[in-house]
Amino acid sequence: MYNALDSRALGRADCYAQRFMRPGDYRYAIVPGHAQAISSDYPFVVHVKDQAAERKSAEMAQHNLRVSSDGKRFSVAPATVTIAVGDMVVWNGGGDIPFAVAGEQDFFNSHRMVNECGFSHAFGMAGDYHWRDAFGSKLAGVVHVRDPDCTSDQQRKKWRETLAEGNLVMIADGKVDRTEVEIMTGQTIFFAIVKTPGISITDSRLLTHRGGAAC
Amino acid sequence: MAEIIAAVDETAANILIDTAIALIPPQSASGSGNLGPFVASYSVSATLVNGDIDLIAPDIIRVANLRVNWSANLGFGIDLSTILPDFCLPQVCVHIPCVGRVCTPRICIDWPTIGVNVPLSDFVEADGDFSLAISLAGGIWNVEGVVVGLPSLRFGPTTAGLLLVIGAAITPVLLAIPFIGPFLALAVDTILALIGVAGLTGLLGPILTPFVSGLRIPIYKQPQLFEVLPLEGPIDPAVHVTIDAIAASVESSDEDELVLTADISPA
Repeated sequence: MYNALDSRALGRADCYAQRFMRPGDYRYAIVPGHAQAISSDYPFVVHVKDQAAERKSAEMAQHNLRVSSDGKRFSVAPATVTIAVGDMVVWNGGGDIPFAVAGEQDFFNSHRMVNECGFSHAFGMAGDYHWRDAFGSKLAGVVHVRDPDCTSDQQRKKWRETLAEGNLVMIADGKVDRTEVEIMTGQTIFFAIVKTPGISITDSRLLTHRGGAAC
Repeated sequence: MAEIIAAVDETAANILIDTAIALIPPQSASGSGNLGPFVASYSVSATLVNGDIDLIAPDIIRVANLRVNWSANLGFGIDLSTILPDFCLPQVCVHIPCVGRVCTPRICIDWPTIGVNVPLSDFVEADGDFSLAISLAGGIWNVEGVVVGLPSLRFGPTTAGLLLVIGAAITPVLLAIPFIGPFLALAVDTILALIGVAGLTGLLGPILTPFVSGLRIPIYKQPQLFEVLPLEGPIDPAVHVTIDAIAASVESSDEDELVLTADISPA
């Protein structure tokens, strides 16, 4: 199972979230991770309606989309989703091959996250994960993941309870609010990106060079 | 009455057969079989080490504690989803300031099938009765001990230790699987319990038994026509005799002896 910490290639335990702040049709493709540059066909659509006046609550709504793969190509259910301005769409799923959500517009891309978006990752193995931005900004941090003591059923139950606890890391204006986070195996961190020039959250071990990533 | 009689006692027979067994080259086999609930492929090689000889009249050489030193490579796959409980990451929610509450969906983990390769080595012992078989083939007399029946193998106490070796081989493979950390001990224990010593001997027993059950120990080999006196000169030629018949038996008097007799005639 693919479980690398890399927002450019989403695995089974990852989510990509994007808010849509203006009405319109936002076409996109699901492509194998790192292959967003060669996508030319955008078969899926996020249809954003200006429903702000109709909405009673000021709270945004969340729409979860499930990505699946038949081993050759990815699909999304539903292929077209209609949301209101300000809503968030969350993609998750895939298979053995990591994927990326590649929109026609620059702001809408899991490979290079720009603004009003997010990436969550559940850490499957203990260790220290030093992450940085593959596109060369100074953004960086470290996640310490440790295995729980699960020698008894009670400890295992306690560990399972901790899995539902959310951990948030905010990234805005070139800064990370928590550069160091400590969690247990299986726990999830949600990286919320408010506004950036386009970044990734990538395990340093996956970056073979110090420079920025292409495209 | 036979013209040539040769006899060895049990002490000498031990040395004789010890040498004969040592000359048997390592044997090998490969295939697949059941390792507990798993299907394992294997390649195994075995060498024999002599045991204690007991001569039993009229024609049995009993080898007690005949030892088979073996080494094997086992390869097998384990579908972890059959031994580990289903595991799902629960929905995780965070509150993002100025945005609101965002939740990940519940995500279920598909445990994979892992492949494990385990090198193992140990020994087993067997008691074998060998009858004496005499044949003349291609002008050569052969006296061999041919195993009688199907000796049962005895696995020693070290066999249980092989399970620990399997566990040690499985552990690093499991450690490479995301989210298995908290279940690691459970997974290893379950796999080893499923295999068990019975599973291991159930696989190895049928593999190793043919190395003993088809065993032929070469005891004596002699050309039918052989030179008894060398050429001494132009008027003194070499002298040859022909071995017309060979018999082998175990005779018991005050001590047990392996006896070979031969009838000869001028060539």
